[in-house]
Amino acid sequence: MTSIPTDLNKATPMSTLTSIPSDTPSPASAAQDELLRLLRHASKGDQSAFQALYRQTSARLYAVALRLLRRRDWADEVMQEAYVRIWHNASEYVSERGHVLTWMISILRYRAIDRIRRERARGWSGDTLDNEDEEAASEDDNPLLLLQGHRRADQLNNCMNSLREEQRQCIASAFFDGYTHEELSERLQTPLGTIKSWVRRGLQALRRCLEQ
Amino acid sequence: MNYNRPELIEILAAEYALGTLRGRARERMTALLRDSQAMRAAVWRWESRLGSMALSLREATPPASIWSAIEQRIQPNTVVVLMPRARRLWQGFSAVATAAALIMAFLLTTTAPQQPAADHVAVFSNQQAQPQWLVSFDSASGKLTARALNVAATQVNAYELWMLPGGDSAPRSLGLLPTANHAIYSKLSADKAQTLRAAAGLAISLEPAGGSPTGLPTGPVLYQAPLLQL
Repeated sequence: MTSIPTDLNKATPMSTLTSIPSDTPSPASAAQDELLRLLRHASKGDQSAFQALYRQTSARLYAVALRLLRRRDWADEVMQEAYVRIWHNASEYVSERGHVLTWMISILRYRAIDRIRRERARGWSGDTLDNEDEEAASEDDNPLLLLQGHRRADQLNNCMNSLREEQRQCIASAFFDGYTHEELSERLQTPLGTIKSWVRRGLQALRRCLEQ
Repeated sequence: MNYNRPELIEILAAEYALGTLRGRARERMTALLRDSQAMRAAVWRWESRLGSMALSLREATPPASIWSAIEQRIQPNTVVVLMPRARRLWQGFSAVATAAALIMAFLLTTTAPQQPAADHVAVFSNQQAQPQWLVSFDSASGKLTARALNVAATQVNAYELWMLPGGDSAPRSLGLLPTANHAIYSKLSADKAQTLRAAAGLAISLEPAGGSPTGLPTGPVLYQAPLLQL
């Protein structure tokens, strides 16, 4: 297990969660309510609420940025772009977009992926890590292991585990490392058509499982 | 390709959210997202499904410099001196006519819940009398709203909004304006809100990305408009 338990996990051990009725407010929904409250205030121009939102979410988003970009300077720039975008788009968040945190993570991921594409077009391989980042990234380097151990990711985790090995590997690598079909094809030394079909079937199976 | 097929929408949405689409396929999705509510909803569902994968990453505290930079970018605060710009009378008239229609539209929408209240508005129109920005201000709460109306985004420059206090006082920045159809909201300090209530008008200048870096104008004044009390 590579992930460190979060405050959420500490507050509510996983084993007790199964016994909580679904209509009882869980720590996760309390956290969502708090982020939503801060976001609503931020959308009306309240900068201190936005700062509080940043404090509560930035370590999560930074982890995603570092993992995708593998360079601190790029991760720092993408963090800035993402939060400036979140500030300006705060009023566009609606509950249909899911959890406030996953909405914010999406905004960051799209910007990070844009950056990766640009840097790879300039010849960056994405293989080498900054020296100072080596330690931070190495333990978490296996995307499949990353899925273990977080309560909110549990349902997704179970469903990912129900996928075929190659489907799971493609989806996790694309999500955490930003690989395109072509890059997955090169890395896994598998024809492009096969990769596309693995990703597609994996996503279809994932959806079926999550909707059960 | 028929983008109305539910399973096609679903798979495109999933691959877009996952990040595997690239090049032209990704560009096509940007257009589809703009036009198709079904596609937007599908992408939102996938962002939410896949996003929880990110929660398994070990948290990493960002350096303090990141917040400082963000804070600066969401709150530009500088003072400059602006040069007045003459405008031909007929242009002013046609802009006023458009402005009147916009203000009516604005008043109708402000009655909806969640819209900020406002008792002052200003409309900035270009030389073809097409409205570019609608600025509204609520003097009681100090809330300022600036809405762009189809303004083309600029990569190297920024549009900065100023209030013209009148008399010998130097203009004061009210921040950077949004582009496209975005709106921004800000809450002015009591001092700024007080000055704005009595201001002679508003102006927009073209500045480098990030806003006027020196507190002095580095670009031309593009627009001026009176701040009308409702």
